[in-house]
Amino acid sequence: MRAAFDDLYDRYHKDLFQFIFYMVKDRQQAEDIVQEVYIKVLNSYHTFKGESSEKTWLFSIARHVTIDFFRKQQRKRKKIMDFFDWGEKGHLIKDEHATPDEIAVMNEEIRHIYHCLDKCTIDQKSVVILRYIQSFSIQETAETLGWTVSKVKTTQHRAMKTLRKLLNEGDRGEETKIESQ
Amino acid sequence: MSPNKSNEDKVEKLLRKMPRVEDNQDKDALFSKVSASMNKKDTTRKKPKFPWLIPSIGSVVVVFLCVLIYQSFPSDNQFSFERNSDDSVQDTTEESTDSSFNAQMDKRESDESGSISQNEESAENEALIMEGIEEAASSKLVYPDSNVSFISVAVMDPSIHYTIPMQLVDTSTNEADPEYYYNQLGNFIDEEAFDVVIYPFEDINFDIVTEENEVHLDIPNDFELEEGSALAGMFERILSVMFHPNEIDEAVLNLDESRDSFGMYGNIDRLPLTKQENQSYKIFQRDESKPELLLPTSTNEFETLEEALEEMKLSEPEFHVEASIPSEVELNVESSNQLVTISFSNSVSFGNNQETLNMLEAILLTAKSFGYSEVRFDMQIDTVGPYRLTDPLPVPVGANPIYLH
Repeated sequence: MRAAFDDLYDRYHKDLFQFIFYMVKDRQQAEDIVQEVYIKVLNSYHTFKGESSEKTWLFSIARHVTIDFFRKQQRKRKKIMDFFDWGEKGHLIKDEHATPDEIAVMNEEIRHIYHCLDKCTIDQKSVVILRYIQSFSIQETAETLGWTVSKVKTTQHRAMKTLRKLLNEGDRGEETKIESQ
Repeated sequence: MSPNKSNEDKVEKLLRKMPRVEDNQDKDALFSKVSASMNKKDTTRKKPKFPWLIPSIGSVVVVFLCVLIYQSFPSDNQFSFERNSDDSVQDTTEESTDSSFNAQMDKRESDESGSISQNEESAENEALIMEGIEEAASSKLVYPDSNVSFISVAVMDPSIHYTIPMQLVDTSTNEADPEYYYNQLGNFIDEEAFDVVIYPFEDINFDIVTEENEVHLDIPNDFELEEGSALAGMFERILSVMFHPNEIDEAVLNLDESRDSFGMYGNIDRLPLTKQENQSYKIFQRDESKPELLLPTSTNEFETLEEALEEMKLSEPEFHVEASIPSEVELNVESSNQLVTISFSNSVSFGNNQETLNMLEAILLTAKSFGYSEVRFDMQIDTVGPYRLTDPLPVPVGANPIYLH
């Protein structure tokens, strides 16, 4: 088991952690999820048939574990909201994480786009992270997500449209601020 | 370069400049945590202390269920669903059904008194159980179950006149991804087996954006809606039946930029989906060899439940649609908040059979479409199919299930 872990860790760990981190945007949660991913991967390592590449197999497990995590979080949030009866405005209560140091030191535009990622759907976010932050090819992204290439392209197109719109709105907001000063 | 393109490039460049985020955990420490968790899970999976316990409980439950099934098929199988408008004939029918019911009860009592030898008794009981199972009325509704996934889909009758809602029930998971089913409906619904038609969405890709209450349709260039055709008219209805139950109230149509219109809808990129309300459910069956299906023949046509129930007494043979309520039945409807009580006139005798079950289930679906959550049936019998009529019945999740394993 150690040998399999070493092999996967040496080849993919940096990318794997980064993917999970950008999905959940919380270091502690990313650490917990990555641990869960290794447990799942090592438990099913003997069943890997090599029909997809080891890399896309590993990332598809990571994506499923991350989505499970989101679902659990959503259920937990729903229970809390039901308990406090925040009613219709419950969805407005945001779960904001502090901006990590790596992002905080970057320029305004990068910080802005980092926050805009949360406005995308989970599917769009997965595609954007895999394609642009992890530099996966369209084919690799399709294999990881278990989609067709055309679905990847459409989702990517929609995600970029959303981000572009948000970026424009941000720019306009900045201009208005400068004008009013 | 267009402003859009340059903006996209900018977004892309910014994304590619995102900083690397590294894991600060030590590799060996991570491995220790992983292996410790794996070992912990292994120990929790250890053999149970009493391996015989679960199979034994299972056997007891099976025996109990057999007894229960036997008891739930009372001998009123002969208690038929008679429809008579002539009172004198009706009286005779009631008498005869009553007497057959009593006779059957008597037979049971004599069985129970032990006048027949043990072997004979068990053989006869077995025959009764088999008879009961063969003649058992089958339900067409599905109720909430946290262990399975429901996917609301819809098909059409072969004359492309009505939409028929169906429920795909994936018993293998409670977290199924609905897009998976919508994008390959033909693999899950056997058109021939039900004698129905699946809408030819073909290469349209469905993408559900739950957060926005939208379904996005990627429409290929060769997909056309011919103006005035039956299929064109069905497009919005089918989408509404499939998606609105899941609170998706708008379809976003992604057309190629070169297309400036979408058939009869013209130049649109969004199609509002409508809630299917105030319906009246009847029975569709093209051929006796095919299963019966419950279908709504009207939507938003009637203002009150009473009117919809009256409509349910009319058959439409040209579309192979049968009335779900016998025309002679007089109904009285009383509602209080979410509960509606439906009383039946005494002029018709109901039995625990498929026709009565169809009627109750059609009424439950109709009542649901009028916003009720429970229906109390006030009729002369206590049990129909799987339902005990002594308490109000909750309205179902949906109708016409196809179970997937």
